[in-house]
Amino acid sequence: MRVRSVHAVPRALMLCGVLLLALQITWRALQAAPNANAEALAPPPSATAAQLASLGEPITLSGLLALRLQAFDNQPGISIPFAALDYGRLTAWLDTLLVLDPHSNYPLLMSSYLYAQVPDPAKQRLMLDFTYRQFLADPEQRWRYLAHAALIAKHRLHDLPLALTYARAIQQHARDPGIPHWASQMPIFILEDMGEREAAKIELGALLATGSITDPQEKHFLTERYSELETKSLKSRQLR
Amino acid sequence: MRKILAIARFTLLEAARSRLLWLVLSAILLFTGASFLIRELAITDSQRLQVAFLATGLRAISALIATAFIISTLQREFNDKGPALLLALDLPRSHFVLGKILGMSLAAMLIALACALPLAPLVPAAAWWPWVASLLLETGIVAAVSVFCGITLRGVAAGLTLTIGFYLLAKSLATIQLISHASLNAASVSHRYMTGLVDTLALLLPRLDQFAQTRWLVDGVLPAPMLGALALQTLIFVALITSAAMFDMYRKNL
Repeated sequence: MRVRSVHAVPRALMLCGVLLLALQITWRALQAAPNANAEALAPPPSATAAQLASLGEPITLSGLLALRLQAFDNQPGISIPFAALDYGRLTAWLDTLLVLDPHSNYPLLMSSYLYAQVPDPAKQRLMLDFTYRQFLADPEQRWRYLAHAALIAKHRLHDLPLALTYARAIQQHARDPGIPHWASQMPIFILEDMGEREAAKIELGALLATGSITDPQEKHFLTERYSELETKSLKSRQLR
Repeated sequence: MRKILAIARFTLLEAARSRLLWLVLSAILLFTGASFLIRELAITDSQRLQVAFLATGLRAISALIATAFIISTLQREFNDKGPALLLALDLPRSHFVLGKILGMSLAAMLIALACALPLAPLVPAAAWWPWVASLLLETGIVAAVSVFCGITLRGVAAGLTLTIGFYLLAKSLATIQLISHASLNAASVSHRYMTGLVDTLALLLPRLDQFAQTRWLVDGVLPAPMLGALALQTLIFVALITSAAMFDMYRKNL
């Protein structure tokens, strides 16, 4: 259906329309621009309340809440540094997410890779502690996050005993054959960094003796390492 | 003026005689029942949760019912050549549009008022009436846009989509504007283009997020001083949309 010509519209109406459009633009331009207010992170709902609110879909709710938490640092129109967040509440949120979906990797990834990056050692430790606690609940699935936590403890916090605790936890609790050797070898290298060469040597020797290292390259590398440790131990004993 | 009022009266009569009333009542009963269930489930803040759910749900459903009614009625009338018969009489097209906008707005406002009634016993009167007043203003805007889409577009689906799109955009545009201005990638050409587009849209659309805010009901914040500004915005925007609808009506081949 073809429309009628513009000339069919009364001129007064067209003028009125243009004036009203100008009025609308002026009115909106005169109004104050929207301003952003940072919203504090509220405490999470209790686990029971969250499960009730999920209406039988806890995995979906857990995912949605994880996304909300993840985006919390970037509220509409404002960017909040992670360090400004209340880490006590953040930990409670991560706990709630895991109650809703215990098989989710999201909360541990957020704790070890995202929130543990803040330049605040106390907050970093809170996140590492959360990762450690949750690792113990399911070591086979969560070892990689604790391995990352051990690296943060070693290189960022320079807390070698803490890194050793995490590395030993992986070695002792994560027994799945699919877990790479480097994860279970972490304590050896941390012990070496701590100056505990004798202990590192004993652990490495024990590892080689089990015959679990089958890759020739890896076996060669670890044997070389063992020899180096032995040489260094011998030298230090001679110096004494 | 009498012709405009006559069209408005018949539009209202048509709304009353259709089964719209039953649909609205069913929606009210459904949402009110669900709100009591939520109230029972809630461990804390039960009344607050109930009021928030009821206010959000009923205002959305009232807008949806009103929009669907307006657009489908107008489309049917145009398909039945009703306006062609009416305009064969001594009735200017502008009067037809004004009568329709007046009648449809009143019908939509009655729906909104009915949807707001279940909230009255749950919140203080001082919080309820400004919320209802601002909901009626918002409904007036949505009804005018629905009439414009019903006249301008062909097909119910296109009209509904555009009206719902307008509603959602006008509700969220302030947030979109804030996000676009706070982006880390502000120097890129595409970002500047998009920010300009968002700012232009913000000048053209009313800020529906400021109308009938649920926090007025649950936190007892009284927005009375703001009501005047909202009324003025409604007046300007409804007049603008009415003139746009008239423009299209004059160009329409019936």
